[in-house]
Amino acid sequence: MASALSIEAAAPRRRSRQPRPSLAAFLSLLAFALLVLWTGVPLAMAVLWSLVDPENPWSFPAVLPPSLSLHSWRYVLGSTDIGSAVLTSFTLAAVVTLSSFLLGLPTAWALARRSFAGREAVKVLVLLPILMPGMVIALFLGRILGTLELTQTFAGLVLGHTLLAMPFMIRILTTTFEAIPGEILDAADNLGAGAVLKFGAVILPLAVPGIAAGSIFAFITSLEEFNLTYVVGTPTYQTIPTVLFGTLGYHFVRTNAAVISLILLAPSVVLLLIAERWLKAEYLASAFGRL
Amino acid sequence: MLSGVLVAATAGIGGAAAQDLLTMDWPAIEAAAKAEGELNVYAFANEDWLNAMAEEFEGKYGIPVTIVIGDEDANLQKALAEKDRAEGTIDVYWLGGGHIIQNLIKGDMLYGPIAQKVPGTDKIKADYLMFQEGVPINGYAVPINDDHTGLVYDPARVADPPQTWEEMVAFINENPQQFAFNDPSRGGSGQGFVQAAIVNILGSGQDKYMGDLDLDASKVADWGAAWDWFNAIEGGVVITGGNRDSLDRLNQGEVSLAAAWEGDTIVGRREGTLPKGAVFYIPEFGMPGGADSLGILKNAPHKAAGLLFIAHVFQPEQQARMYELQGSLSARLDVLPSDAQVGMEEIEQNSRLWIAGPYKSYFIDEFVKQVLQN
Repeated sequence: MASALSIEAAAPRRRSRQPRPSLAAFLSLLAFALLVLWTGVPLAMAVLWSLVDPENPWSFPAVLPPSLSLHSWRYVLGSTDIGSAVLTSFTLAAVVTLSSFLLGLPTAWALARRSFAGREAVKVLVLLPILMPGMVIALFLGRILGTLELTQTFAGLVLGHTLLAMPFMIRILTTTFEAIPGEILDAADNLGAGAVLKFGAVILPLAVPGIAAGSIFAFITSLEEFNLTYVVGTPTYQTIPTVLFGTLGYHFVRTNAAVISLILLAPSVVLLLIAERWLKAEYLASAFGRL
Repeated sequence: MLSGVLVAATAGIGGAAAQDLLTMDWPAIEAAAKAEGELNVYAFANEDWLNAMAEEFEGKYGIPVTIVIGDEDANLQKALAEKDRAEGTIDVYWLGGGHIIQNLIKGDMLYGPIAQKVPGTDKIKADYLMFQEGVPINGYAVPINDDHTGLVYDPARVADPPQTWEEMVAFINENPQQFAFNDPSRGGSGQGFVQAAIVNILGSGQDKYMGDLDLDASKVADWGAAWDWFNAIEGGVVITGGNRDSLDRLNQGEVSLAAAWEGDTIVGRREGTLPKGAVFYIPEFGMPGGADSLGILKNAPHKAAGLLFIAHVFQPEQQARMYELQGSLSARLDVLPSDAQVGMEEIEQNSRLWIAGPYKSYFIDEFVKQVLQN
């Protein structure tokens, strides 16, 4: 009775600390407007710059381009290998994601659920590839892959990118496996589930968010990798970052850079929508928080 | 005379590099190139012109060319990573900054000497054949363009642009935040201005810096005066993030005068990212410019195709297209477009050579330490 009274007494106080609906709505609208400005303005600027007419420069004091043209779109689509680079990059990233998952899965399970001497040291050691400068890794790995006659091959690129993607996959899967309550696994054992059934029916469903998070990290790591691809893959294989340098590098032209940015936005948005279906914010927060 | 100097200068470089290609006649080189069947060109800029040349070369000789545009240092690291392999993947290498050439020359990585083999190299300035950014290239690379750093202004906003160093200093003092140059670690036009400042502030010329492959500390002992000056004016100028960033700020009206590359100015006007009336000039106080060059790596798998490609793109018609497509003047003195924004007289009077690579690298590092991080 006393506890019921105390709850009733506390309730109005809690309500009084809640923001009033009008204030909450105002803050939500403000946040939404800021978000639109934050993402919308750069996007609008990219669209406008991609349409600048070379005959009528967009210069001070003009607020908007005096006239529009598809000149830069025609130039970029006609003179760069961006199409084949996008295809190579996404194929490579998909294969790397799969291979880093297959290789990372047993490692992560062992690190999360098995006790062995030096386990904590191994957890740190697997992060080494992301702690070293990219070009240093590219040079040493380039030598090794050269010795194995794997430079200028797709397999060599997969191997190299997988090495760089695995730290993310292993770390995230390890934290995911560590978070699975032991009681659930014990219950599966007690109910007579074999190793395969336990993995497929218990562990895998619980690990899906972690696998998805690790996969996205692995995919993006491969997609953004420049140094290793440049040393090991070019000129046979060109990916988005290696092609991008020609347009966005030393003598970048703003109008062409805007076109490239917009082209690259499309697959990224698709990827984001796919990720949205698989991931919930709290899972990602969990993975990031324990990384 | 010049060829004598070159022969003497090249005696110590290259060693036992394969010489047979250099003793062949051009029909034999062409046949060898066709037998090789392909070519890989690595550069850090000028992709429009290189792509056009690749298409033209393939059309003429049936040899497909892959153009790879990458960061200057990434190209060097790739070349170094493949140095000990019998065959690398880079054939023709576009040599830009002094530290790149310094590394390749020191590492004995260039095939040649090829300059005398390529028809028309007698039309190049003697200085360009011997030095690139102050580093002796000794015929192991063929100077291919002639791009200059200078100043750009919008005549609608600047009536009387500075010519002498005193006028430059006065402009900065009288027009706070109206002059932009880029952080020298982020692009050559800023490097050009910083070099000009060092040379003008110290007043002892730049000859003493030429030809050194290593830094002589005694020659930079008095550079503190330059850093003091930069620190004094830092609040009154805009230090940008790159060559194009400076031009963007000029285009957007934030500044009215900027250090820039001649080629970037032409491309900016052409692409609608600079006012059509923007004027580029090389001030009388002198700003550096010079040639980039094309070389062939010693372990290039397609040396004959590389040599044929360099010879092809060095011909007058192809060199004229470089200005048309890229805004870069030819390294050939006999190819000057009628609509060039900077006349030969202005180039001869006001353009300076880059000081040697070790000193250039040093002032880039020191500017960051002594000015930006101060």
